[in-house]
Amino acid sequence: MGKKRKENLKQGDPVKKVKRSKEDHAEEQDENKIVQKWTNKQRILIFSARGITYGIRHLMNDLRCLIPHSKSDNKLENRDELRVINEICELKNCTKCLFFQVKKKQDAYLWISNIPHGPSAKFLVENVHTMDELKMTGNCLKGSRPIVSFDKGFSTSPHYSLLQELFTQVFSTPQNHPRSKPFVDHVFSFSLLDERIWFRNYQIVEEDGTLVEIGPRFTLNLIRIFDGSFGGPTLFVNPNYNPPNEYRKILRKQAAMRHHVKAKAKVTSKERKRNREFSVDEVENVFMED
Amino acid sequence: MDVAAEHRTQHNDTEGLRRRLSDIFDGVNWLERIDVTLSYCLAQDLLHATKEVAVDKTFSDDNVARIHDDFQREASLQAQKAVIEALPKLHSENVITKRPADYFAEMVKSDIHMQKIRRKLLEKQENIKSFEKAKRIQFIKKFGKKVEKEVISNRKNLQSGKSNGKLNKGANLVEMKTQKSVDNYVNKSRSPRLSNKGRKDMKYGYGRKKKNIKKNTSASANTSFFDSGIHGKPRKKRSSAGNKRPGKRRRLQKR
Repeated sequence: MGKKRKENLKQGDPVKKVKRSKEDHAEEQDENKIVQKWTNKQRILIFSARGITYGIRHLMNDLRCLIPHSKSDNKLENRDELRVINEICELKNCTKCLFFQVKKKQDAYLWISNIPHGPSAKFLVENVHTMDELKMTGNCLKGSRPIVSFDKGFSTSPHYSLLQELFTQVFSTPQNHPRSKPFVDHVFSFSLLDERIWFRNYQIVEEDGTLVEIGPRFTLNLIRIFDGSFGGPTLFVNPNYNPPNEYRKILRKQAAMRHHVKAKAKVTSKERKRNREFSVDEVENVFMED
Repeated sequence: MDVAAEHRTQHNDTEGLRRRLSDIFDGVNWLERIDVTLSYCLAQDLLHATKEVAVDKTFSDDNVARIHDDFQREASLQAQKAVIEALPKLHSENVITKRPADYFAEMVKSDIHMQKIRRKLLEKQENIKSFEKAKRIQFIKKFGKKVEKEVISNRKNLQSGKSNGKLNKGANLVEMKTQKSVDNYVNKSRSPRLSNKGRKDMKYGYGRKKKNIKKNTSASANTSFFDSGIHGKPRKKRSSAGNKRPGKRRRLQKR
């Protein structure tokens, strides 16, 4: 090993130069003419609070993998206030943040925020499928730039168009980002269905629009939009949002009701039997008296 | 809960939302973001596909079921139109969309993982193949002898009268016929397999009161058990053709 490395070092750059063809040189000159600079310095901090489940951790890692302009950080202690995240982001030079939180080891929440002055939005994350699942057969370059697609529903109401802007700024990779590859070979699709936002990621196989899913998949159920970053006055509250606790409560109540109805029926039937009146036949005792 | 719901509906500061949108809008070049807003609404499309009625915001049960149908939902979620819209735009801006064949770089999914996926796909295909093969074997077990006899008799017929060239043709015809019958058997749509419970229900009945089923009623008392055969079927008469051999005593007498 050592010898090889030394040889490489000795030869160094000249070898590379020899290998380059004339065509490459021509291309390089063309590229130099068009000034290619990384101007859009959008950076996204993707991290989570302590106590997230493995599924959400995998999802988070998938997103880090797919978003080349992202940064990661240690998990946030639960005792810390969420406003601390603003400072963390500023320390890390990040302008946007995706923050995952899991409560009761089952309900996952996602914060998406514009640092430092907001707005921010909180979602419930549902139906998570990660990229590791074998049914997702697509693949794409690590760091290639995505097309970000939204359906028409996003332009129908102001809260959705605000979310659209946030999503595009977070998920679209800046041009000429040093960690990105110069190709466009996958699509992030955001669509509105059933009052939720459905995220999908497809590989572009053919240029005519043949797609294969890469993953991950998840559904975002909007809870609230805040004016500030991780707090502040509320701009919008989703009236259709049903908290998972309440949903479970309803389920439990239904189960309890089933039992309650049965128990009640038992008691009443017993009572009915006890109070049943029998019509006495008048003729029955005629011969008894004799 | 109603109070809470009311409280929630009160918060919709549209002006605030618009103001914030204009605040954060960075107005960068389209090439920086490559975003596409489609000209149609997936939710409405899905609804239209189900029923051609006016689209309500409230989801009927049918539409909810459509959303929960994986296949239909995923088909409607595809971002095909976005790709068709965006790619020409990118080409016009001289952005490369296809990676050259000799450009190797790290992929999002590792090679090991992709091999796993490939293996799984192959397994699936093999499963389908083996299923068909098993069906074929089943068929041969069931009707093999019959087909063989048919083939042999057909060949004999052909051999007896005709020349060699015609024989080949005839043999081919026979083979084609048998092949067809095999295919028919394989592709025959079978009634869905019943579960154990389903079969028992078919045999013994399902639901209704079990009490007093075996008790005699006026109707059952009127029918004579000895008249009807077992399980209420009339007794079969013994066919004379099937009973050619006389009884033992008669046979002994004959001697």
